[in-house]
Amino acid sequence: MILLSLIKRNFKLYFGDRKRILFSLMGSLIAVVLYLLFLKTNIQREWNNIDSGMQLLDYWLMGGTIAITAITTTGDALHQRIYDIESKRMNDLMMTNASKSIIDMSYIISAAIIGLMMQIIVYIILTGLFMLLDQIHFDLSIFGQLIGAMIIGSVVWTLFNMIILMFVKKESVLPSLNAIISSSAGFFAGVYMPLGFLSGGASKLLKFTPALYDASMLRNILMKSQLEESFHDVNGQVLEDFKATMGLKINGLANSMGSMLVCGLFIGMFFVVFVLLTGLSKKTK
Amino acid sequence: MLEVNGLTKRFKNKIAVDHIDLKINEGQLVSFLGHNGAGKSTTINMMIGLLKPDAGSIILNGLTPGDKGYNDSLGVVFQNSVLDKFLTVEDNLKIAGRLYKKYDENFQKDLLDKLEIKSIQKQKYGDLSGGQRRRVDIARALLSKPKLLFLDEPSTGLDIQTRNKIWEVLNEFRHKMGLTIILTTHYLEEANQSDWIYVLEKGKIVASDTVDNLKVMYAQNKLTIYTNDLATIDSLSKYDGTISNDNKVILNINSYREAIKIIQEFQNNIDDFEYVHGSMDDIFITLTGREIK
Repeated sequence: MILLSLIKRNFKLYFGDRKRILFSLMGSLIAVVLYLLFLKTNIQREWNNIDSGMQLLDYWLMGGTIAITAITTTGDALHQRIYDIESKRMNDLMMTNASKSIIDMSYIISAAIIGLMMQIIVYIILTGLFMLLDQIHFDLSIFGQLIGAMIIGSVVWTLFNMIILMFVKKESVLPSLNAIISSSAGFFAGVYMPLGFLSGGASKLLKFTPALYDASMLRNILMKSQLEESFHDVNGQVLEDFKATMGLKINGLANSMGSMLVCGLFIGMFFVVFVLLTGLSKKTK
Repeated sequence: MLEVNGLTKRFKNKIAVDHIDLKINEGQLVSFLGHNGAGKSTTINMMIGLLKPDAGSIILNGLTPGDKGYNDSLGVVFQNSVLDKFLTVEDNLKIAGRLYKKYDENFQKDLLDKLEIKSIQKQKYGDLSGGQRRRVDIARALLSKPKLLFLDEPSTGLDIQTRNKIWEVLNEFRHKMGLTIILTTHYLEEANQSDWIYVLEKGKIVASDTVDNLKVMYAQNKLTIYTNDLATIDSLSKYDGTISNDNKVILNINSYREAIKIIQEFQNNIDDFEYVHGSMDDIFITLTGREIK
């Protein structure tokens, strides 16, 4: 009941502020604008020989953009904790029957749900946009799998952002932090440039971060049927090469399940770090 | 009800609260009086468990801060407004209420009536005037039916009507529910109605007593007599601490009876007189050497 009320409060504060939602979405939708204006024709030129290459590229971009959405919106939602600390709102919350850990849990759960909702919204916007522009199909059969992947993405990034924000005490740091995270998110998720186009060192580095796996998990789900259709008459090796270049196959994991497992490992790792940090901050108080 | 012993808090090299002892009984209205930086808010923050003391103990009905249930009997009105500015008054109070295990919706409705909040319920908290916001803060603090209410400078910057309204409700709670109130204030008239006063200066308690006793000890009642009779001025000047100036003599008086006696004795030679009670201002200046405002 107490946890539910706190979550409800976080929702009201987040969804009650239209500017906050807009800027939150801008972080990810800017990638789409850049793609449409500059990248689409360039990347597409390379894909001339692929059947329905344009549609394939659209799904690929959607996967990356949804991953960025998870990164930026969960962070934005978690900023509420910093606002509450700085405005002393937290002191008042602490006077109630809600304990510190329940209050922290409420921020985490709210951020994960908000992240999921925003990913769904971005998915709907992009599907609508590409249905209009490139006549892509809306595939209801992948919806369950997609939601599962979005939930995993939401949890990974909520924990990641929570760990980073545990070191932040002041609201004034947030805009700069936001700028760093949202601009690097596009790069780490391999949205601005496919993994195969990067230098060996850079692509190796990316393979140790969860962003790429989150994007890969979503892309594998979104692109699956289009890939089967487009590469139907082509040698299997070509498809494998394509997957490796476009970041759908990382470290030998060539399907959504593999990436999901890696994301699961990151969740476990971040959770342990979070618990350790929470314990440490309690001790130093 | 609340007992504090040797409470001490340092911030870097500065000592904010220096070995403070307090004893507060149930139903009392207790004021902490002091300049900015005297240690009032730091003391309160330790008593409500937000700040960990460096030394000393705080015991509230057998519990210490951090114990389960310590906060249950507390209500706090913070110095600054701390509710959600983007939410309506109604949402703010509803959310706050549901964060308590014992949430009484009817009691909340009653509070809204008493503090005249109903008409502003749908407004955003951030859009309210200072006085309206303060009334909502008080309602928020009373939501959980606290036994002990901390008010950290509750009426700073408020108009007299709002101050009166707030005290009307608080006094009703004191009488009906035996609410204990600990108050920090800059307003001497607010401190005047207290059962007990602690005067703080540089983190230390420099005086602690009832208003009346403090007045006897640190503030003198003054009798001013106007006369043109030089013999009367001469006779009155023999009293301790008398100041005479042209046709005016100011005497320090301990009680009204003493004043009547003097007036009767010199009644044929007196043109006029004034009798003024010693004030909290006098107490404060005597104890700290500075005016409070």
